[in-house]
Amino acid sequence: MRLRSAIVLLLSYAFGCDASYGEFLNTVPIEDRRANASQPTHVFLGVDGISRQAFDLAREEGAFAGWHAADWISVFPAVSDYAWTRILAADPMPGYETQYYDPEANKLHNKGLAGVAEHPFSQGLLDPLSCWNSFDYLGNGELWTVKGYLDPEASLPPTATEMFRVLERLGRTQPVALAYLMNVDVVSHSGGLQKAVAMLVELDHQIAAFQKRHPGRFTFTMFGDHGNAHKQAELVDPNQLLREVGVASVDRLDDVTNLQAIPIVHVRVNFVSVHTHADMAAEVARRSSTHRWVDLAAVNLGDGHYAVYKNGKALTFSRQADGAYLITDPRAWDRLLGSDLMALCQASLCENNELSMDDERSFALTHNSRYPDPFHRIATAFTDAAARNPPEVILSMPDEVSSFGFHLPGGSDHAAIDGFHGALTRGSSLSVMASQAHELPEALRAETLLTLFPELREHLQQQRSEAAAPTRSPAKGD
Amino acid sequence: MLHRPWLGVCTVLSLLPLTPHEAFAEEAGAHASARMQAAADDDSPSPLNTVNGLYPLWEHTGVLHNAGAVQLGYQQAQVGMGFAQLSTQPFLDLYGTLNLQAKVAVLMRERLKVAVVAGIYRIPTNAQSRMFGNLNATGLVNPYGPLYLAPLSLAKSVLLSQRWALHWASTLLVASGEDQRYVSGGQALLVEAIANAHWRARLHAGVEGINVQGQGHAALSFAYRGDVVRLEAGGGQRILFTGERSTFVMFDGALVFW
Repeated sequence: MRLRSAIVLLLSYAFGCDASYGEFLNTVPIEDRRANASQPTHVFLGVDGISRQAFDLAREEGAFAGWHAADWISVFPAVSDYAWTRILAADPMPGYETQYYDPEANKLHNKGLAGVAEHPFSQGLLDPLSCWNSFDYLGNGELWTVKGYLDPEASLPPTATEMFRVLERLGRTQPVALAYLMNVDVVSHSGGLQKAVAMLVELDHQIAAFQKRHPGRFTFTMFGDHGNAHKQAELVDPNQLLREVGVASVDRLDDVTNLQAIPIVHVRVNFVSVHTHADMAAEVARRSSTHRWVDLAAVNLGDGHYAVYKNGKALTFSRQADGAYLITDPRAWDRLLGSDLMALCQASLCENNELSMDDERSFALTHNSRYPDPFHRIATAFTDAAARNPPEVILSMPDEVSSFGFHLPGGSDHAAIDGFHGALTRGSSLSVMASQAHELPEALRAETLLTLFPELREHLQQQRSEAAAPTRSPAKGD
Repeated sequence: MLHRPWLGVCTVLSLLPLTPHEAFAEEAGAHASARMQAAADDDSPSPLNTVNGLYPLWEHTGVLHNAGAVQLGYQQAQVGMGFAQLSTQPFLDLYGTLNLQAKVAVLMRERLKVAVVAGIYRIPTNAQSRMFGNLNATGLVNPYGPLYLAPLSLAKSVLLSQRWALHWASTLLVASGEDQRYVSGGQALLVEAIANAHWRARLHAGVEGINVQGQGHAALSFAYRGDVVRLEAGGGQRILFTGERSTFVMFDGALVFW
């Protein structure tokens, strides 16, 4: 079977991948079965890397008038593959990124440029990750990622044009469609905030023009996967960081007598996953947090206990079985977060300098803080099933620092440094949800998307069940 | 069968440009025969020899392979029987869209060829998921069962001069499945500029999906004809009548054995 698949794959790609098959299907007319539908087709548009800041500036230029908007707080770490996986409840990934450490095999997978080169394949070209397969429209052709990264502005019109064509066809049979745009993320990295704003303004024009061509047929809800700090950053080497604080940076965890750790150095993001021995994790986090390239170091202490180190000092909390949080020293947390947890202590919810609060209250009190929704985001970074091999430590960098990720031959360390994401900071974490169809609260967790919109959850469930078992109904099956 | 009268009108209209050729066919045929004889003496084949269109589903020619000829390629695998030929499109078979076409000659003159092309395509359930990647979304969603397409085309080919050929296909498309059931129509033009025995530049244009989801296409392609090797490639724009547009590419490679 594998041999047959390999032969089919090779033959197919030798002759132009899926393009010919797609072109054939594109010439097949689609009957309009929703011409008299009572509700318009609801288009969910995932805009990679759309920050709240860029959205608000686009609004100041008149875009997205009349749309409802909410702070859309990304997961931690706020990086695309992992964030989309959690937002869309897709199949788990091995780690947060394409490069990952497998503790059972004690092996680092997809290292270096080979791992970076894996991205276009897992992002749609061949055997895509489950999160990318979830989109009804992802990109326009095999060279989509290449064109998008080389010139995100020039590649926006053709990819958006194709998206609207596919949406028009989908809207003839489906009440829900899920589409994706990558360009805003790329231009935020490589062009800066103003270019991201201009791109959003253009996107708004195109959505309005599309809706004008199809009055009453489509309504849009737009959301991102993460924010962007929109600050030029110094590219740094996490291996060097670890060495400078006395932790050996290694590819395998063999030595149990000396501090050693495996940093995931893969693409340019402002967090670093660090794998180490469980009993060394707290010390690796403490030491790392003293380095100027690190803002916070989050560590999984086990049994639902977590610590966040800043400048070598720990703040701790734990997550109870019922999802409630027990915050130790809330006054110190308030100083870190700029929040007002102590207000709850004054309401007699503190005991022995520990504050107990449920998940809902935790979100309400911290979503506006310097590090939005930290307790939920840190705990779930280590426990959510979306990453099968989470690290023991996650280093969250300041907005002005980013892991260099990789070096391209010929040098590229001065390109694409205009803004990063991944960290716990507000800029990195804060995206936006904007909807024409629904009123929204002030702030939402990104991974609540499918709870907010059950029609999208049903759409994805149906799509995935069909992909898993094409003969859903034996009587009607293929 | 025809839901709208103008579908039939279009089909009839598509034949009108051929009428003068038909009317003068005998005379023209005589001139052409002389030229063809001269060409044959030079051992050069007739320039009206493009057997297949390149734009999927809707583009056809009135030309057939000679009896005994076999074409093995990406877009087409065909065997010629003189008055008829049988084909399948291998790249579609590869994706589980089993298909078969038959082309039967109606009129075979030197400068005018007319053929009827009938086909059947079985697009499998959830056809989009057959792709290896997710970068060629089509918007065709058929989760509840296969979609059967039965196109019937009247294909006309005219040699306008030794440098120019015109192919015109008028197609009725019947679709039947759990998700779609309709009759549609389309007209596809293929104009060939014949540079020499090996190279051609072609203009493709047409409208299709009439009565269901109308769209137009315009494209340019180049074709190479070797003794055995045939290569074609091109690209163009597709515009839905509702205003949406997209670019597309077309290509084929084949070996033809006589």
